[in-house]
Amino acid sequence: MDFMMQVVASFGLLLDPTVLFYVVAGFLIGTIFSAIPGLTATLALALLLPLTYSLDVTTALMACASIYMAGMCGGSITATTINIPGAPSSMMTALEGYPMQQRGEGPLALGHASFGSMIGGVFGAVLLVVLAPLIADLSLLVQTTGKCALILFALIVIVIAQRGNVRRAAIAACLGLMLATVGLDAMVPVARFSFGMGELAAGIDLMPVIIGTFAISELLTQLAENDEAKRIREKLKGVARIRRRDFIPSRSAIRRIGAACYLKSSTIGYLVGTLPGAGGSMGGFLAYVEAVRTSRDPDSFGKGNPQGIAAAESANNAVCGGALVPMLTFGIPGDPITAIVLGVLVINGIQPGPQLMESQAGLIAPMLAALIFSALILIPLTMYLLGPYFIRIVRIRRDVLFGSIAMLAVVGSYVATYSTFQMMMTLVMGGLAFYLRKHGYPVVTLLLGFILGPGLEEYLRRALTLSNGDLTVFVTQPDSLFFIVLTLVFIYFLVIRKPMQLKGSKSAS
Amino acid sequence: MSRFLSSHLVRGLGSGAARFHAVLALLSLGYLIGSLAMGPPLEGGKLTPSFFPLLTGLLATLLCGLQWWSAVRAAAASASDDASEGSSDGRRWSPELVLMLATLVYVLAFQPLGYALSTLLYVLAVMLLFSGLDRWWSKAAIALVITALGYLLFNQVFNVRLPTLWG
Repeated sequence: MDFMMQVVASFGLLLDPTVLFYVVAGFLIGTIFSAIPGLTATLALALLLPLTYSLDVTTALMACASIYMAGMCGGSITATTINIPGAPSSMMTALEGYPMQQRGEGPLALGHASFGSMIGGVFGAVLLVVLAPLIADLSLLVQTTGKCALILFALIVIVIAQRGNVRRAAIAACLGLMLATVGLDAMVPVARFSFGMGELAAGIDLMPVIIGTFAISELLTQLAENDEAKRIREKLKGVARIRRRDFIPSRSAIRRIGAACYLKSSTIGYLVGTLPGAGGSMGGFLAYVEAVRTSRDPDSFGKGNPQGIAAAESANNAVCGGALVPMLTFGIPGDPITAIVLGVLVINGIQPGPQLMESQAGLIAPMLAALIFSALILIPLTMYLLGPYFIRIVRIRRDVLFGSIAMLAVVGSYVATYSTFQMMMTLVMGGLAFYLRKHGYPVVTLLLGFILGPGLEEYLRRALTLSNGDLTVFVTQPDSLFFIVLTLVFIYFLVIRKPMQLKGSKSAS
Repeated sequence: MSRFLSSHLVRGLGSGAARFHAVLALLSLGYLIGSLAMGPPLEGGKLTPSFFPLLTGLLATLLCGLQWWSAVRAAAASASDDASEGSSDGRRWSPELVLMLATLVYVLAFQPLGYALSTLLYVLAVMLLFSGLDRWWSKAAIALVITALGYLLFNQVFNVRLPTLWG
């Protein structure tokens, strides 16, 4: 209850013009980045990360929250207008939005997307505010062996969630773990893999890994796909002018979609968000499938049914609230965005984990207030005020855009230590991530391996030291046993049962 | 048997994907050897700093080896793959490689040349890579504006001390 009151009181911070400026600017940047195909809100956050050194941590976290929320809904703009989702989370929106656009109802589709995003975003954020303190209390019961099993669970789930690509995902996670071991050992003062370099003895900083993985590698990928991007830009030129009044969905249309659809989709999105590695695209997909399954008129889906847009967008925005649960309560990020938010905390000397909600409630509450504010006010307001100009905005010259991004990324990595070594590390990480992506390796598992690696090593060594090397301690302790069973359940459903079903359906067809 | 194996290897190493997997496998192997050189994983009943790297290195080497072997087999199975890879290998200076080199030069020149000059040249280089050499003077003007805005953002708004040419 105290925490909820703190969140409510934190809305007052938004009256400060500086804070409001960063929250609104963050939202606009997040919307633009997620609207441009190829760019993501993750990239926007990665570029913002160096600036958090100079920014007040509360303001930085609030700006992160608004970028996160914007990132989930901005992708619907190009998904609807040219059938190319700006962000992966808007994939299902394209299925219904584009047919609506073709029959001249594109703005209305965007209005439905906005409304669904608003409902889902608020639902997810409020549920987070209500449930996070309870989960944080429960997380205090998890001991050393349990923490080790939990991190292992998160890593395994993130890897097996990359369906069809599990081995590559596991390799990328191993690379992340390997990078995390560079530098001084946490328990014994021994430098590992530093090759006599003083800079490496301190370990690899999180910032070059994030900027390299998400900004530099994106720059390289975009350059490799330059011709395709030019084609998309040409396609955008043909989009008809959007009028502001066409955005607003009628009350009867919203009633036809039904409160149950919004609520069910938001709940699906929230639950999916709590799982490591699932993300907005999975949330949107499951909610869409559920909407089709329970609809009285399933044949209308795929032909421009606003219910499909409402389901997908409510779910992907509700993911924001869900994804912050494991990060805030256990210090375990489930996706790149929450990993960067965790980076902001670490940069400012705040250790995420079970104690965070208790000891740093004053920092977390404003972030959640910004999340609710972004969903409730900024999503509809941005769509209404800037909607007619979106197409012009996303047609921004690519050379100007990427010239600016390159400058922000490389100079940004200099900010932390005023050393060009970090810039070099950013380039190395960017090059590695680019080639990994080019060969089908999901770099998100590399980042999460790097972030979770130190914790995994520390708890594993502690658990085995305390038990005199007895591995059975992981099954005799109830907390670790719980997470081991949970891991096995996920492996069964995602790795064993799924291929069996696919095999069965193939032979049936 | 050995001829069959060697033809597999030659074809596999010839494909870009297999070569990349091979590099990863070698890196993992190097990491594993480095972990082994750190000492035994257990000493006096306690886990040492080499324990976790050994575990990770072993897993990574195994997985990368498997991945490489799969790529070798896939490349050997499809001759068409070889043809397509061969055509892309013909392009020695891909734009991505040029961008990486430009970034490397920028990083090396950042302190000696200072923020303004090095950033101006770097931003211009990135812009030219994305949109070609035509109307380069207008791109130079835009690069100047981006550099100035970057200076304002980092130096004036966020109080970051940026290097200068004669600082």
